[in-house]
Amino acid sequence: MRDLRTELERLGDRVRPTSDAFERLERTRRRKERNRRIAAGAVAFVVAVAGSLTAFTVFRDTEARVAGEGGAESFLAIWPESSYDDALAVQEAVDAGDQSLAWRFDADETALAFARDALGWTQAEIDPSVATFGDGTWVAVRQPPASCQGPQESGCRGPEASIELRRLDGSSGIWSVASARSDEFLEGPTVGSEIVVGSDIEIGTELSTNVYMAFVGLGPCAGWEQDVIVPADGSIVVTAPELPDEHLEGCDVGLIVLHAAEGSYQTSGLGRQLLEYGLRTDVYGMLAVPVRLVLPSGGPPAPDVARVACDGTSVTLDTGQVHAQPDGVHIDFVNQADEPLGFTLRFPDEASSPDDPVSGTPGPDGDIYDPGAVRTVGMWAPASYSIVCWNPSSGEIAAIAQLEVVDPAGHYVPTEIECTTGEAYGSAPGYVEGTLGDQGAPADVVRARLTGLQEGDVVELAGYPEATSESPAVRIVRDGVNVGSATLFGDGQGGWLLSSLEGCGGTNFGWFTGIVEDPIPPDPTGSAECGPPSTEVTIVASDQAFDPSCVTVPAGEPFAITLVNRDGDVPHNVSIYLPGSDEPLFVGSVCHSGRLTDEVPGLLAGTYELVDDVTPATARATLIVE
Amino acid sequence: MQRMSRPASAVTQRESGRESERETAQPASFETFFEAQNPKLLRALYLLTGNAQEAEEIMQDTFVAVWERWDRVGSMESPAGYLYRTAMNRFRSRARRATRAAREVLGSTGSGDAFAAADERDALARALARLPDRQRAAIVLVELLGYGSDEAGEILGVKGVTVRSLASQARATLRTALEDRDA
Repeated sequence: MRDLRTELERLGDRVRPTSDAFERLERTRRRKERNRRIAAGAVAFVVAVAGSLTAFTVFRDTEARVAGEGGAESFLAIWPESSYDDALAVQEAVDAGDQSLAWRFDADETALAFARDALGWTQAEIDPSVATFGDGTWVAVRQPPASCQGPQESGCRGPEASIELRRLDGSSGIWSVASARSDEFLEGPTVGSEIVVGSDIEIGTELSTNVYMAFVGLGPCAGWEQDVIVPADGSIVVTAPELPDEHLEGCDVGLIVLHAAEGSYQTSGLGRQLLEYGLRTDVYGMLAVPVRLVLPSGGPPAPDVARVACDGTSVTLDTGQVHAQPDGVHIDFVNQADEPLGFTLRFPDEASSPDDPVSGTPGPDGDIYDPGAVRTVGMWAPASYSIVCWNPSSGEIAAIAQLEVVDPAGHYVPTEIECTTGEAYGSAPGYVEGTLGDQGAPADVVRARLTGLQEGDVVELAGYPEATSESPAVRIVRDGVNVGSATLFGDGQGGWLLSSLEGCGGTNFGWFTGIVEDPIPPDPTGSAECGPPSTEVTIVASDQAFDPSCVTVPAGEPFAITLVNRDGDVPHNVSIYLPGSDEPLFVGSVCHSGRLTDEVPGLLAGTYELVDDVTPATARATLIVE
Repeated sequence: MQRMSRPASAVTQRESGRESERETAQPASFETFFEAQNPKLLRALYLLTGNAQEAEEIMQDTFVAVWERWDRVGSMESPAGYLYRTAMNRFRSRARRATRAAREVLGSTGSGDAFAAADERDALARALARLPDRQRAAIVLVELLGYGSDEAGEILGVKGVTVRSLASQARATLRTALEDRDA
């Protein structure tokens, strides 16, 4: 196999720059500059439009909002008022007898006023067809060309638009303009619709030139704008822009599409305002719709730190989700009581009982915090958890809240084994006090100590990559599948010892703890009964006992122990101990049924014990190394 | 089990890369810089995107952006570092948009599989296409372009240790794919 870099170069060499690469770059640069000039004009243009529409109102409610339903939450209009309060003030003035505002009770008059004052169509007339449907009223407005005698003249059509109107607070309220739409842009988003960033927005139109489009921020997002280069292919399919970083919770925006070119229709309103931007342009048609731009999840993104507060009777979370970080999950535990409280993260199905689900002892496990706030960085995998707040003195659970750890950035490297065939097995050795572990990186320690590894196995640190964990997990990946994991713990002197080891059925992972310097000499009388030394020995586990009761292997040579499990329902393994010691020299793989072979490094001559860690009281044999 | 050792070629590449940056920083002609970096960037972007056309587009975008700022970028200590940082930003921005668009359309988060479509017989291309974007970016910067993990971290906007972790995972996956192929 060639080295990886050579392989990558080989693959990358499928593409090569063309000889005219620089000339093409020059063309690209010129094209981009031209597009930017157009875009700058388009933005100025649509900003002017937004300004002339007296700014869109603030829409906080994402449900369908109808002016007629009543209340600030349901108010939805783009003109003339920009908020419910302003519209209500006008309503009160009209109710108090202000005759100058009487036109607001007439939908046609309101639509005409919008066309004249906002769009600058000074000669605007009502189209005879007025349709009322749904929750609003549409009024068609047109501006006859200057040379025409009237709008009915054949072949003489000026700009036109359908104006959507809605009434404030019920059937007797004043009219407001909710949206505006010309025939050029009949298909497109409707008022108040949610648009997910990155999604395609399609606007049906036959136009291929003189179309400008932009998103203009409204309300809290005012000042943010996003120009759009309209594809010149006769249809408009554009990608909804990213939200500004400071408004990831969503933005109300005006989606504005204009059909505009040099003309002579407008001398006031929008046309006049556009002149101030240096654009001698008239509006022939438009689509002006307030919509809400949202993230795909529909809600605000999860924070990097979750805050959990408990006062001894209730627990409050400031977020339902928290983002995993490269070094773990950050949670601020805030004890609002005047006595210590315990905080525990558990999987939801474990949280119903105050008892420790693992040990069965009363009271939850977890950490106990004095009153105040403490930042904790945990190694919790992405999942849903229950946060249990409990009282250490009584062991009673005070309250439970739900928190989901999410990891869209993919920081977490899963430690959990994924067994496709066979059952998983696990083992956890005991060490005598003062045992020193291996120095070095946890993955290196596992590589040196783990037996049963195959060529190509990847041994790597798992969990969170930048974690400073006291119990690092190392996983073994075989053929892209996580087939084993070893959790280590510190010996207090900078070394690592095995805490637990698990593997999938079919793997033969064992843990070689070490070779003792001074083993007990072999018993000369007993060794004869144990047979001649062999580098391949077989132990049969049956009725929770080992057979034979003694085997012999050559000193200093690696050997294989094959375990045949005939108990079926009881798993077994074969570990190697010094007589009377609780510290295994070698931890064998667990065999659920059938047979399993462990490879054991060479041992010094001596007498050892073969012990089944599952049923150590009965399944034992003697190992003679000579 | 043998440990993954860092290929010596990556170290020498990294050092020679630094020298070439110094050379280009002094004469400071954008065209010279373009001619020197163009093939390398195109190759890296092809490995990142798995699509020759998209690689070409991002490359052009990136070089235009650098060109427009060449007065400032040309006098930087590492114009190439700026170039790759810009390219990576554009790649990630495109990847994000593409992922969201795919999610919208397909209702799933399928990652780009352009290499596999291009050549199903190439095990490396397939394995590369299946890597998460971040791992692919890390392995291309470290292994192909010879950046150290700290420098690659600066380009990607993450810590060096994260790059090491990402590159290590990617390397393991790719090596397994190559070993399977050669077996």
